[in-house]
Amino acid sequence: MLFNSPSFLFCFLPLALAGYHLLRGEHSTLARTWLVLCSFVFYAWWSPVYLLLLLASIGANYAIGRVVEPGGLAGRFRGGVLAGGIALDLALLAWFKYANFFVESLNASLDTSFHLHAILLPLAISFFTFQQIAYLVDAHRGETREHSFLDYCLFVTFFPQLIAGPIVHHEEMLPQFARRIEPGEAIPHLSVGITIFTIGLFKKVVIADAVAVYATPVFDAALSGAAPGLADAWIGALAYTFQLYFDFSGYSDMAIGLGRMFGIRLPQNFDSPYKAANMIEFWRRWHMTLSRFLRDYLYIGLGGNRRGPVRRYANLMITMLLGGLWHGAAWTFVFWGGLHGLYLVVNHGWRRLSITPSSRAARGGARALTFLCAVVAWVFFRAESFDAAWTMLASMAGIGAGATSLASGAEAWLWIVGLLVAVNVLPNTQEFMADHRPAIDFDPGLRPQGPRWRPTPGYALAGVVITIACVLHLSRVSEFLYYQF
Amino acid sequence: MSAFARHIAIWSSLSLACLAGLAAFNLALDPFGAYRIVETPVSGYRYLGSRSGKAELLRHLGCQDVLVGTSRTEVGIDPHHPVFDGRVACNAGLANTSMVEVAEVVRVALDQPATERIFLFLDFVMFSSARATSDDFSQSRLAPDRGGLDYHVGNLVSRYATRKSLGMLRFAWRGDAPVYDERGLRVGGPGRKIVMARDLFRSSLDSFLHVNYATYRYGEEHLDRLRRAVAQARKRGVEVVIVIPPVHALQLEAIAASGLWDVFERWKRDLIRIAAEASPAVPAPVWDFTGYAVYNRIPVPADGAPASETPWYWESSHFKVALGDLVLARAAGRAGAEADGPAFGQRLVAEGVDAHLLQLREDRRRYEVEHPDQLAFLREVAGRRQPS
Repeated sequence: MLFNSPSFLFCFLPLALAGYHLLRGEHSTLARTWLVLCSFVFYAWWSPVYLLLLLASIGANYAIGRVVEPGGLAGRFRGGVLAGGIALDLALLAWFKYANFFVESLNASLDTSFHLHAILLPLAISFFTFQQIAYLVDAHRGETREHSFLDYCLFVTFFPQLIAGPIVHHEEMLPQFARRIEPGEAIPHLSVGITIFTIGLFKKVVIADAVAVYATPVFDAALSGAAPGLADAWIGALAYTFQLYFDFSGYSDMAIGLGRMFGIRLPQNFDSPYKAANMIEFWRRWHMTLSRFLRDYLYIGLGGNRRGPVRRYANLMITMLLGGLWHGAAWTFVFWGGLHGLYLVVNHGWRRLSITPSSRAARGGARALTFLCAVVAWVFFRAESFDAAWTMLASMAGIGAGATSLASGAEAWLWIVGLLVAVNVLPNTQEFMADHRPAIDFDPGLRPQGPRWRPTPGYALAGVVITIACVLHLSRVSEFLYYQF
Repeated sequence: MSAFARHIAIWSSLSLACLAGLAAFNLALDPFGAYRIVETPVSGYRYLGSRSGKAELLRHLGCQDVLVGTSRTEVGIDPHHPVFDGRVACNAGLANTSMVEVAEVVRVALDQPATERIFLFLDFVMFSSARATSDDFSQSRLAPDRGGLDYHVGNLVSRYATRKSLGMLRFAWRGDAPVYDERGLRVGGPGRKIVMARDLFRSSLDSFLHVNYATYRYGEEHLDRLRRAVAQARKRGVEVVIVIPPVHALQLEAIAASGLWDVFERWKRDLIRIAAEASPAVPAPVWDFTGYAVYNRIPVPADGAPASETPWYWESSHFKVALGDLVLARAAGRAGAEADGPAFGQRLVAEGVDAHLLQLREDRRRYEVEHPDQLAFLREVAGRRQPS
């Protein structure tokens, strides 16, 4: 079920909300059970069979988590059991997400002809695998507190964040599930949650879906071997740059808003990444919960920056290459990760020279360069083959560019320029909602002053306009890009 | 009431009121004929040619004879023809369609209890893998996963439906004549802005030579779709008649000029084979109206001749209802249809297909010799731009 589908908006969500708020209060266990059941239905809507896989994964990880805790049944074999648990999670991910990729790569490199049947990728497997690996590691470190199986189920399956994040940490979620919502809190939660959700829905259905029509034909043309014209290639790359941002940040806003409707705060996932002045900053602003996971459980696990600059850069590259592979079973994703790894290495090397842009113009130049680097990398992320990516980049550089031009070129540029200004000038959703603690660990004090949402009739009317605009655009339900990861 | 409660109250009540008003507006105008609760003075302007409109036509009209095909069918096959006397026939032809969509039209038709016979008007161009489904398709009941709440929200409160409702009001305000009749026939030709016949021929051939045939990829998967559609119809006890509708001789020349003649012949053989597979003892009849019959050989009209006055064809691709009537008379098996004029159309059977194809090649050669001016016109169109 998609957040932007009428079935979700007009049936599932009202029922889930009504049930939860009726049951909370005196029956908080019942309310949490209701939420877990709703989450199961939400997941099973896509494929009932794969709900069993999710349940098996949850059961196994919960059991292993309890066993590997200090003082748990595993005793001195805790390390081995933990390794086994992580291996099990990764094996599941490898089979469903990467088996065909490995076989195809093997066939291509060794000229063999092994064949696997097509394997349907279970929705959200990349997300719930990472979330549970983090839980196992923390359980082994003794950092998980006493909690019930019901709460663990809710931690993994809570439907607002189940499919595409934000990737949550047990420490920030389990205490919230256990906490009772006081009578006066529910209405403010609902009001703030509805607003954040509506902003996210608007980003997705009105902006991302609209700008996608300029990206898709250009990348399709490049895939078929036709070199797009210079302007077309830039339109395609920039349109995709904004499509992906508004699609995924829209999804994240919707997830955060939904969580808030149930009185649960989720972590912030986007913080105006295209305002970043360097790549290190970019990754602190883009898909923040993934960056946090990769940093805490992979980069630091590999040794982080503790063993000198060379090991640090090698660890960065490994982390980003694996981060790229996490996004999709294709070498273009790995290359995209590697390219970002390279960006980060260069960025860290530059920092060692202690040259930081101080003037307004220098910072503007740094932002523009960072944005350009991101755009180039997105070409590999979006292209379905290296040939298509190189064709796109060559056309963007004016090398061998075709003579074609999109009939809607002027319209596309209008969108692109408008969105470029918007992402650079406007506050992001969390900044706009800063007075109401929109996300975990969000500190409004560090934010620039700007328009802030308040529960006034004026903002309610603006919300009506945005809601109507969203519903008008619901007739074509399109998937979120991050659902495929 | 707290500020937050007031915010929720204003937001929810106004949003619901606006959406309810919009839904009522679209329900009353009903641009795709999905509900047919009230008939208004603008109901005649419903978008019955859209995928949504055609699917709803099949659901609501109790069609016994369903005419399925491309825009050639939509423009040229009259569901009011006397061969349907006493029966309800519906024109479910779709513009710019492919076998993907046509197979779904058959599925929806077979879901209707009234359906007794399906005429499958199959065009060569429908079997190209290069043809995509239209946006309109995914929003209609023809899309296999489209139904329930999502469909009704799309029909009642979407921008798409609202624009169509406003379009109906605009047509009525301007006093335009309705484009579709109540059985789904597109009246007044294929509906281009060009009205001069020679220009229409030029424009039509240009798009086939430089787009449809230039990008043509024969889709084996489409043959499977056809096979399944015929088999499902047979299983449900619905009669299937396969018709290859007529095209102008220059359209055949364009196929040959695009290097697709062998594929075209193979396609015909495949149709005959598939028609026989579902029931070898009584194969579905396959009628072929392509060829160099006198109707298909009318010369391209001179400059300045209006398309409305050209006999038999609007342009090389779309035939007029008058020719469609001859097609129906033969394909629907009306006795004595041959007496209506020169021999037109031929029933293809596996045993005679080689002779038929050989004859077609011979007719083509003769046409090329006897009509160099027509071929020159085709070459002129072909040379206007390079294939993209």
